[in-house]
Parts: sequence; C-alpha cells; structure tokens
Amino acid sequence: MRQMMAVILGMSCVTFLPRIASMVWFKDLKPNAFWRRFFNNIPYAMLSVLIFPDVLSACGTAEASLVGVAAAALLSLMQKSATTVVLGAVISVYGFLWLF
Amino acid sequence: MKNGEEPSKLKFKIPFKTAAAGIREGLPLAFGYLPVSVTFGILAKAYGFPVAVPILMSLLVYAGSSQFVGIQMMAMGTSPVQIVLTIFIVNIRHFLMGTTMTQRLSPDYKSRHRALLGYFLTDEAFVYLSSRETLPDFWHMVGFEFSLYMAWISGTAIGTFAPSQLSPILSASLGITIYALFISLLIPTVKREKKMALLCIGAGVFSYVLAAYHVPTGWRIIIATVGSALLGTLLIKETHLDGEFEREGDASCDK
Repeated sequence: MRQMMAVILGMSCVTFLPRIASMVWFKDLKPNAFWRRFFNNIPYAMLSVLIFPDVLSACGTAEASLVGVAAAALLSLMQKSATTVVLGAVISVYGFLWLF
Repeated sequence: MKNGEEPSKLKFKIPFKTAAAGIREGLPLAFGYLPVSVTFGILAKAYGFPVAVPILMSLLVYAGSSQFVGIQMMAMGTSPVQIVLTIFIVNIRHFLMGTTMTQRLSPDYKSRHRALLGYFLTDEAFVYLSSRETLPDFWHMVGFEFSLYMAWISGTAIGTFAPSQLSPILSASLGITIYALFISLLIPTVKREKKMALLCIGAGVFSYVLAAYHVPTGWRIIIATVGSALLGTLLIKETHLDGEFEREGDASCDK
C-alpha cells in the first residue's frame, strides 16, 4: 500500500506540474499575430483530436457510435442546448443497440 | 472580464451565486464524466486494488487517460519510476493547454488564480472553456471545474463500491456522452466560421492516421493538435475568430 501511495503521489506531481507551471510561467507571453492565430486554433484542433478516432470505440461498435455522432451533430445544428444534445445522443445509441 | 469582479479581491469571499452558475454550466460535462469514471472504478476493482487506490488516484491525479494507463501499469507490476515517467509523457500536452488558456485570462489574474484554475484544467474543461466566446468570471470557472472534479470522484466511488455493473447496453450508450458534448461545442464554431471545418476535419484525420500507426495517446494528442493547428495557421489566412485574443485583452484594459 505504501508503494502504491508513492506511485499515486508521483503521478499526481507529474500531472499537476505541467498544468500549473504552464499557467503561471507563460502568462506574460506576448505572441505575434501568427502565434495568436495558432493558439486560437489549438482548442478546435484538440477537440477534433479528442473525438477521432476514440469515438468509434466509445459505444462498443462503430455503427452505434456513428448513430450517436449523427444524432449529436443534428441536434447541435438545430441549436439545441448541450444537455439536449447529450441526452438525444445517448437515447439514439440506446435505441439503436436495443433494436439491432 | 467585462462584467467580472476583480479576481484578486475575491480571495476570502467566494461569491456563491457566481460559483453556482459555474457548477450548473459544468453539469452536462460532469454527466459525461460519470460513465468514464465509473468504468475506471470498476476496472480498478477488477484488477484487485483496495478501494482506496482508485479513489485516491481520482482525488490526487484527476486525469482520465493517465489514470487508465497508470492503473494498468500498476496492475502489471511496472516499476514506479517507469510509471511516473510514462504519465509525465502522457501529460506533456497540459503545457500546451495551460499556455493557451493562460493567455486568454485577463492580466488581472494573479499567479495563484492561474494556479487554481490550472490545477483542475482537464482536456474537457480546457476545450469547453476555450470554445466559449468569452471566458466567464474567475469563480464561475472554479465552480465549473469543481463540478467536473466532483463528478470524476463520485463516479470512481460508484464504480468501486457498486455491487453490480450497469446493463451492457446502457453503459455502451453512455459512452457517447462526452463525444456528444464535444460535437455540441464544435458544430456552432464550424457554423460560425466555415473555414474551421477544414481545420477540424484535418485534425480528426491526422489523429486517426496516428492512431492507426499505434502512436501512444499522449503523443498523438500533442502531434495531431500542434500539427493541424500549425497547418491551419499557415493555410487558413483569415477567420472571424482571429480577434479573440485582442478583444479580451482590450476588455480587461477598460478598467
């Protein structure tokens, strides 16, 4: 248990060091126009990277995941709230898995 | 920080209304964390760890992919140094997120405010907060991050203590929650700025290819994000979103 505790504490340090250090160290960074555009792109690029390809294995089968993606995309295009999008996607996947 | 209170004055008095609004805003994401953290708890139990291990890990590490990688390595009996090094590599991407995030915060934010926000800055909190048109008040963001943290810990506890598992169909369909939420963040941006669709599709394809070549998750996220963001900056010249940094910078100088 003591060794496990040490491993957990070690993991904790190497997780929070990059999170906190980057927030504190780089606060006075003054990027030029190019790098500003780059930093603007980061969240959207990362969002896509977090979605693909992981989403395909999120619901057991790729088909079920794609049903969920389609439902979420459709509801988002209809400008529904995040909660509605999430619930709609879950219900669609559930329905799909229950039927097939 | 147009309507925001000055963060440095809020050290000892938490404006609960603002924090509660943040907690509410975090609920859809918190809901998305539940299936993932429950799975983590169940996995740790299946490996035969004492209940304290997954719960302490969620409390002290609070990083999804790191915890899954870490608990697997611990179960395999990997050496502690190797585990910690691997987790560090998985977490290098946080440097990128923190650097992006800290520049969007008003200059009024002191280091301790930045450190507190950074402590709870998960991938999901980062992409959610930064795809908002403007960042909310400090305590709103703290409340938002806190509701995700609570969901992560309680999900882990549920997974660890739950006597039986969820029905397979229900747990499979809950797997879509976090991605549905990501899609609900992505679509409005792409609608507002059509050129961003290119960036997003490019990033998705890049990530897909790297995963097909078995590039480890931490590196895949860094390489695909930085690569496609750089390409996007070089190829997509002008977008309406470009002004974001200046706009927020200006707003904070109004005071």
